[in-house]
Amino acid sequence: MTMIPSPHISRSALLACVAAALPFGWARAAEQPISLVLQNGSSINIASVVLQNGALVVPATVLGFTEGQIIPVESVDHVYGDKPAQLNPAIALLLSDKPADALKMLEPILASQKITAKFPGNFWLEAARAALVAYAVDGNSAKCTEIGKEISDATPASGADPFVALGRALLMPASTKPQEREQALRDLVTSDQPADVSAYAAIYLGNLLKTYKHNPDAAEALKMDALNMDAYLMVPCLFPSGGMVLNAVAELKASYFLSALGRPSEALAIVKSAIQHSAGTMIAAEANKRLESLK
Amino acid sequence: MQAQKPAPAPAPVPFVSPATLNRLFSEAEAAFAAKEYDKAVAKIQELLKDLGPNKDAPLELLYFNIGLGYLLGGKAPEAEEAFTECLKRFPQGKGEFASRCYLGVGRACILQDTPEKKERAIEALKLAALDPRYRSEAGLGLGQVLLDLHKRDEAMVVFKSLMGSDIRSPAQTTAAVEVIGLLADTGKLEDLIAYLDRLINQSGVRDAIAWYTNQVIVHGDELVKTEAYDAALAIYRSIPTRGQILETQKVALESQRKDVKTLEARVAVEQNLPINKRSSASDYLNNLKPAVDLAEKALAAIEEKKDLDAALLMRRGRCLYYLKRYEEALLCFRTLRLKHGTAEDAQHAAYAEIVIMSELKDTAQIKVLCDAYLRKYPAADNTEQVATLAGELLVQSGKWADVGKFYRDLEEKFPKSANMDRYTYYQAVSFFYDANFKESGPIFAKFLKNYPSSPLIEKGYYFVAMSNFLQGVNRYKETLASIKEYLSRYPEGNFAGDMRYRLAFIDYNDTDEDQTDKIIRDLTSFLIQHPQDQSVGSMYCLLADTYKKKKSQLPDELARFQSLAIENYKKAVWSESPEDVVQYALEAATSMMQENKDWTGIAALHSEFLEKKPNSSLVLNSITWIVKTKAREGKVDEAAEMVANALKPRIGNPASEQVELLIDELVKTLVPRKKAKDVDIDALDKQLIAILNKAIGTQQNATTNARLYYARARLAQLLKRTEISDQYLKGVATINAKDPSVLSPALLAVSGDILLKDGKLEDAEAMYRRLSDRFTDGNYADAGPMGLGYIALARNKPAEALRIFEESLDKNPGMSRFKETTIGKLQAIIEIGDPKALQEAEKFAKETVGDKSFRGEYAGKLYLLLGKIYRKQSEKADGPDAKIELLKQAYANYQHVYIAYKSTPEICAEAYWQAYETATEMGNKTYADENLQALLADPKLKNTERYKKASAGAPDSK
Repeated sequence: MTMIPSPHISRSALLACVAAALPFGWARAAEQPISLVLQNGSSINIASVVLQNGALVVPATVLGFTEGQIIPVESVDHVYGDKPAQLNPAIALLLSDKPADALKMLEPILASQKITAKFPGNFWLEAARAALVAYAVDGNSAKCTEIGKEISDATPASGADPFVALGRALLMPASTKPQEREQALRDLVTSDQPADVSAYAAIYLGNLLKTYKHNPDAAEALKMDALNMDAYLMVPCLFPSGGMVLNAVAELKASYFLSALGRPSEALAIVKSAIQHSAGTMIAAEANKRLESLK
Repeated sequence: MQAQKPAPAPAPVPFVSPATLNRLFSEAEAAFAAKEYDKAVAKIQELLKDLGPNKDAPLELLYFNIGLGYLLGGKAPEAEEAFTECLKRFPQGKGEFASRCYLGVGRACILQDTPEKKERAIEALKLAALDPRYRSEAGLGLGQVLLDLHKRDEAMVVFKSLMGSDIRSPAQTTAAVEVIGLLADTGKLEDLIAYLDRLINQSGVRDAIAWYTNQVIVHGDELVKTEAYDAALAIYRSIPTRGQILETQKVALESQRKDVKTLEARVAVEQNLPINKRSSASDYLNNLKPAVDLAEKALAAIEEKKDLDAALLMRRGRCLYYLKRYEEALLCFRTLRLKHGTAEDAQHAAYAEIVIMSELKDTAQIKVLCDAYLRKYPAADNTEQVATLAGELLVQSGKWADVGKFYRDLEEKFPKSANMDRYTYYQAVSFFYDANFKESGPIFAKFLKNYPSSPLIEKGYYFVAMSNFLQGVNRYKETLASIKEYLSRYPEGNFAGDMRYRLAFIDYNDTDEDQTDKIIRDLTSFLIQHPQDQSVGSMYCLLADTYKKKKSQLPDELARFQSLAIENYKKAVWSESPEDVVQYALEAATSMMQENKDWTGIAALHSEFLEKKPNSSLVLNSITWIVKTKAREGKVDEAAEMVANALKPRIGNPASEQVELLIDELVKTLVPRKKAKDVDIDALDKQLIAILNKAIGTQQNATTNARLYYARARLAQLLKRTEISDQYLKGVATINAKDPSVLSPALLAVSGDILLKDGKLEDAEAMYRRLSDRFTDGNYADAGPMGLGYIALARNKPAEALRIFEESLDKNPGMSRFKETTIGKLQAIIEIGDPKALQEAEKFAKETVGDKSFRGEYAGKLYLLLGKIYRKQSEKADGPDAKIELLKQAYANYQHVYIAYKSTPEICAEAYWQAYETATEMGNKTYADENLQALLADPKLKNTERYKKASAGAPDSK
């Protein structure tokens, strides 16, 4: 691949840059509050605006904005700030088979970030998609449908968001044959889907395959294990842009198969990678423990 | 002092019309656009002269652009001076362009590249970075200078701070891409991954996602060139799929194009206004247009690159391969081959898979892959190389039938191959190893005839001789002829020793004539001349066997022969020979000395063996002999000392499985043969500690401490002080619960069991997990999975437990924890409660209880489980009669247990309890009470859990 030239200092020299006047000093603050950055470069903390009849209203005077000022939705350029601290840990909990605990963390994020849902760079979508998966895994069909609709409404693409299909696959009734469930998930593990949908689907496919009865035929059992491991490995190998925590969880789960295959050094390497992808979540703690065990 | 003269009146500024000013401004702007920087600077200077101290004129903008013109024109010192001048006139806090001037000073100083200028650059860039608009660019420059000055830690602080910046403008995006490269260079992968994750969601990156993708791929490729595979992988992983890139870029472009139109309209309206009356629309527009152009070009490049996803898979696979993460690499390559078969990289991926399989020595897979490769790429340059690679691996795997077929196929496929000698040779060898000498013979003959210059020719002659030799007496003449043929061609050849050994072996088995003297003569002479030959071990053994076989009427002479036999066995023991040869020699020598009652000799031989071959698998056997012989001689202290010496090189190594076995031997040695109550346990304990401390010496660590307590526990156990023993072992388990890596497999298993029993599931799991991860091949291969199965049961996950138990039983049949695992499997089936499975479990339990290896405690447990199966079945019985019938069967099993298994208190007490519960379920309160009373009445059951529960008051007993 050849380098496409950079636009760096190529613009007319007499121009002034667009200002994105964000309040922070050189030494970075612990967490950047999430703000709406407007097209004119000014920004406002999302806690200082409310949504009223489809318009953004400033309820009380804050720096640069007056009480009652209406900010046209079209004037918002993007969302800026640090990812909510609880989001990655919530995804880690969800993928560690604790959907209810994950929802306890996700629901406040959904509420606080709802106002940003339609703007580029928002964190609501990622939280909402994780919540959809959590509701589906928890068997809460109504909430799953409700949030699926909200996600579809928030995204510019027409039709239902691809996560809705993932929710359906995860919500299949208990009477569904495992093979049907497997097929539904496999249908989502393709390059046609967004990477995060495929990554979630691959993890749940791996979890499903793990519940299959052990095959007494050694060769068949080995094949089953290979399929199971591949389901997890697909996440970091084929859909790695699906999300850091998803990569970490899948890597950690795959490490058990690698060590069962007698590949301790590969297991160790993948666990180290899981640690690098899971900072600040319970997965990091679990992966560190596992690292000690494998050393 | 002279009075100060009044300042001269300022020179009058000539009037310049606004039209002239606008023209000059436009000319300067055009010169910038044309990259004629000197001209641009001159125009601005002319404009400034004309403007004079005009308060309404954008003077700061103009002064700033003089600096920028110099900077872009490569005149760094002039640029520094001009930016400094602008700052003097319009200092920070007052000037709109102050931050950019600092940025300019910083850049100009970096370009001048002297230590003093670098320091100035740092100062200036720090000031520029205070302005969030220029934070990314200033931070990037600052980080680079700090790295240049080897101030790595400070540079990292800067880069980390950049990770929080809003990336919006093209300049910020460019800076962010550069930061990726610098973060990758620092090796802080966690930071790099976090930064990449954050970047992809940034507005500036989304707007230029196609360009960004291109840039980061190039960065990744550069990292690969420097073998920084981890960092390159992190970058390749952060890139979205081509579909997502196209979609995001198209949406962004659509919005940007709309903005361009709006801005163009506004600029047109403001065209005739004076400079200071215009809005910043022109600025926005001039910013946006090149960004849109660039994004369009980059989008077109991605659209053209139809196999981008495949190219990224190849890149990720390659990094993973170099990181030796083969399974992940394989998945990348396999997906590329199967899902992107027409992509440019598909053939490379297919070949990479073969290379990985050859590293993994997976001959079955490599055969399949090679066949597929040869079918799909018959014209590839490396087809024969691929084919041969598979063959070599098959040879290594020893699957001789496959080897023969494979090389026959190759002979057909590549009839003009330069490797035809190999193809023929391996066909013959494959038949040889399958003992099909009828087939191997003619092929070897063809090989010897057609390829006399082959590098394999010596081996060919050897195999011909061996083919004859292995066919026994029927081919006696041919054997002799072919061995002689080999020896005449290769008297000092690689197999000369082995050939002579075979000849001697033939003589040894001569029933017509005593050939012993000839054998002794031939072998002795060869051994003197070739002390390093690879067959010396076998030859010494044969020599010893020959001496042993020799007969004599003279007792002295016979004794001499016996002594020479022992001496030669010993020489074989000390030779560098395969373990089986050494074992044969060691056992034969020991056996002869045992016949002679030479206990001192046996002890000396095995002591020397321990010393010379401390890593041999035969060490334990030698220890046993030492202890036995020394005890016979009453030299217990010497025996203990020898065991301690054997412990010395291994006691600090948790991976050494033999240590606990040696400790067990040591403890057995120390315990005198008298009643436990008559033994002074404290004295023995002190003696044991002293011996072990001597073995530990200066290598004291958590592992040696744990082993010391294990030894003391074993001593207490032998002396029937169970409480002390349990206390020591519990200490080992608890102290090391947070770091199981210091424990040996035996201690991990013991500790896991203790922690599991105590309900400390997480700690127990860590012990069993460590066993499963690190000790999959030894004596404890099944201890880890067994424990993990029981953990799953304790966590009420019977399906998971069942899978673990079944897998373990299949993978480790007949291993140390076979019985516990079998019982675990039954427990899991019962917990799941599937009626069909319960029926099978009942059958299986009945069969197993009849298995002699399940005697005692295990049989008791099986009966208890049978009872549980019946009770579980009774829950879904067809009607009350069937239910009662099943409960009766359960009750009968419990009765059997508490009668027959009184020697195992926990099991006996459990049976009473289960019988009590079952009777209650049947509605027979009398039986229930009787069972409970019997449990409470038996003093031997006092320490059991069930006794404690019963005495605390059973639910229905009051």
